[in-house]
Amino acid sequence: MQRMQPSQPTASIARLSYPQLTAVRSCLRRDLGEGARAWLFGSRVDLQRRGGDVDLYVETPRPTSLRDELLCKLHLKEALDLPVDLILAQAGSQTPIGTIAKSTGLEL
Amino acid sequence: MTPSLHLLAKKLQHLARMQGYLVYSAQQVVRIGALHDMRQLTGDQHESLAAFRVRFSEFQEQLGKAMRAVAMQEEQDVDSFGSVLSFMERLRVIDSSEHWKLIRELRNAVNHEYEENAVRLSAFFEQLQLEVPVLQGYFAALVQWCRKAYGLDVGPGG
Repeated sequence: MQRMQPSQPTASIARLSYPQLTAVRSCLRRDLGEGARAWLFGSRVDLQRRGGDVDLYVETPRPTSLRDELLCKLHLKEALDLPVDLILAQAGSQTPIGTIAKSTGLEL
Repeated sequence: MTPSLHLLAKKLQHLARMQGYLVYSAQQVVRIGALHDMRQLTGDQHESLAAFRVRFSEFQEQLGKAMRAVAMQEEQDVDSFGSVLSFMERLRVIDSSEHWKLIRELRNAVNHEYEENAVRLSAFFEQLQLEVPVLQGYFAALVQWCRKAYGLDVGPGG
């Protein structure tokens, strides 16, 4: 798993620009709180591909209401102007998609 | 009455009928109660859940078209639906564009993620139930505005 550093030129490790990644982090912080940890995975971390949805796997310390989850997804779509797949899980939960996201994705 | 106003009146009458079907479906889903195990549901109960989400989606879809028709009638920019929503917010037909979009996100999610996970499905249907009166309120406000502005009579349910 890669972890993004603040000064790292992200164009080389993810097909989202630095302002887009900043917008993602800002939405997550605002809608899901400071404790949320997020991984960008799927086609957007595959430098050989073009376009595609923004796949985000996010772990939160506490369960998130459906309303907050939908609001967060809406804000992400509007901020990026791209289709977003948002998967939320409570920290510590073990799911196949979580394992894939953490092992192949980029932690934001 | 101009042809466009005649069409708008027909749209609102159609929406009034759709609202009746939606309320009926919502009541059927309330009768099912909490969803614990999808496999325990009868065929009729599955039908009720399916009818509710379809009617909810169609009602919002058609309501959006009626709002767009009003915006056109008022010679507003209708190139993007966001402009229509902003106009509806100014008319106080909707409380906020964000709430409208949240409801659209909800129906997209429930249609896209229709699944066997009873906990998640329960949350979807509970949220849909909460948003039914909101959509009804938007419709009532739109009808009232059209009545005042154009003298449209939508008839029963409108």
